[in-house]
Amino acid sequence: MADRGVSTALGYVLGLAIITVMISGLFVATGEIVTDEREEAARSELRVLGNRLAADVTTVDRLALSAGDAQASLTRDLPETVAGSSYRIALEHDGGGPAAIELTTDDPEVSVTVSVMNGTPIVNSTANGGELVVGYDGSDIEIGPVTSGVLADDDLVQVRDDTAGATNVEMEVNFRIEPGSPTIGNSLNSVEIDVGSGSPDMFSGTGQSDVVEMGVDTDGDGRIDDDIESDIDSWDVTDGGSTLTVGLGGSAYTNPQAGDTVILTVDGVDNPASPGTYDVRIQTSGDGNWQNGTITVDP
Amino acid sequence: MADVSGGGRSVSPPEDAADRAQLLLVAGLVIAVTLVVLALTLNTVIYTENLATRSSDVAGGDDSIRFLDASEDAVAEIVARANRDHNESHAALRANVSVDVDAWRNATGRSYATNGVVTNLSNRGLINGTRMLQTDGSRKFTDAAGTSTWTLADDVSGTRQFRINATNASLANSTQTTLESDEVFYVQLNGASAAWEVYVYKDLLASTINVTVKNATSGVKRTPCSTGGDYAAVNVTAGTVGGESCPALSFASDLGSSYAITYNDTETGVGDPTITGTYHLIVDDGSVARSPGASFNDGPGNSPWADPAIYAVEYDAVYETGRLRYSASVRVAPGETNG
Repeated sequence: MADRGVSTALGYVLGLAIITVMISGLFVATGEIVTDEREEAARSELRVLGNRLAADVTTVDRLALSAGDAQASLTRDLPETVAGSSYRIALEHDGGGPAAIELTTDDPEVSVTVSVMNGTPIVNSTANGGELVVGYDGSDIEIGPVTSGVLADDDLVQVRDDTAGATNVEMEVNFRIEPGSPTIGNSLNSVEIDVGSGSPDMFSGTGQSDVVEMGVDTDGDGRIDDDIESDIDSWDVTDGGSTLTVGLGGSAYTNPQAGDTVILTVDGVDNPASPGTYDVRIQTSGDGNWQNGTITVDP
Repeated sequence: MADVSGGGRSVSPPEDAADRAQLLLVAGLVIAVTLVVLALTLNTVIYTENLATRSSDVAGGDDSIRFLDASEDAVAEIVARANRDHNESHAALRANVSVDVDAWRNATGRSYATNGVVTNLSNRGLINGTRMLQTDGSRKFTDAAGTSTWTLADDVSGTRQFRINATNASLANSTQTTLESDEVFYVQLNGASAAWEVYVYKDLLASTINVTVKNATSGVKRTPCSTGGDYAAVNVTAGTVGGESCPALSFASDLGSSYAITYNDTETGVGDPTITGTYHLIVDDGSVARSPGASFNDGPGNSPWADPAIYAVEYDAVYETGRLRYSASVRVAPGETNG
């Protein structure tokens, strides 16, 4: 009689064990199928998105090559996630051969690379899935989030006509406020442009009326968001015409932030008479935080 | 739960029997939910794969290029039409071209705007030039005063639509090796760093009209291009002879930023023509019409004559949709081979 209880217990435990093993087997099998399918799903989605993006890079490349001084930017709305997880996109070019678009997700861990031929230089850049911009700023192709400044001009200073001795030339300044700059948090009082390399007289012929536009690009799209031209209250040309200080009342742009770009376009500038590359340094609010750039004039 | 305490007959209570499949039930549910989630995941794949079947050019990249091409064609046509008229001054010509470009911009701007596209053309500059031509096909290539060797234009940096149509019967006979000693007509393009000569003559041996290009600095002659028939159309800037491509004529890039165009030996020592026919060219020097004076008649119709012309138009084109922003600087100088 005592054996009967044992046999019942044994039978019960054995039954439990068998069921557990069977269910575990089912879990493992289903889990593997799901993992495999998710990976495959993510890979196939990334491949499609990569190719869509490659088409956009090619489009921008084509637009960049279509004419002189071309600039192009294209906004692409990609899904925010693939197979339920977010992903990153990297546009890379190591100098030789075609460029590569690498799309990566962490969970499942999948990486897909799509090649793209390019005729214009590509700068290595990254973006997250979702809405992003493929831009060509006149020198290279870049991708980035919509507000990343992909479209902003990288050149600190440039002249519209690069012929030596040209007069009445338009000069454009793009001063991007760097993190840690003393200008941050204080009103913008001045922008000082100082041309070195022999101090050529570039600004003697300019006046406040030559300002084409002055403003701040706060979202990095290369366009002025806040116009501060009306805040200009002084115009000082010193050092024989090689330094220009544009004074501002300080009431229009009171809270500069890192990443903002002060854009100033002035007409009536005279190019240096002799061809060459000239150093130009620019500071804001006289804070001594100079940024250095160059302009090059050709014969 | 089974009673395993021993002592007495152990029988599971009947109400426990209903609980025994709990584990299976829960496991089945979990697996079912997992499969549903998988189905949803695969659904997103269908959506993404669906993207692949759509056009990749949603932003309008093709249309923007089309707009740029259309603007180039239109501006080229405007310039060509303005140049065709006998213009009194560059000022009048510039005004005409500017008004026409503005009219085109406004008309296309409205039409694109109906599709939500913003387009614009902004004129950056017109480059003055001079159009020189001879339309009397029986005339020699001498200047207005009858001078045999003469300069059409000096200090030019660009030439476009330079076409010569020579009458076969009038051309001097020669061969590739005796071009210099025979009195053969040639155009000389003399730059600071290089000089090129384009000889047009009748080849004695092959009975064809030949064009030989010689590098005047090194003296090396390129393989001649030839054509038959009563007339030979030589397009110096497009690099064609008789409508066929002539690689020997691609030398424009060597000439640099300042060169002179000279017609040489347009008649023999005794005054017989070495070439008759028509020619046409536009150079980017607006002063030619006035400065040599005696070389050209005041025209039109009185060959050879020179008119003020627009050599090139430079403008910025902008094309913007909700997703695409594109701007380009364009220079239109139809038929130009060098900048």
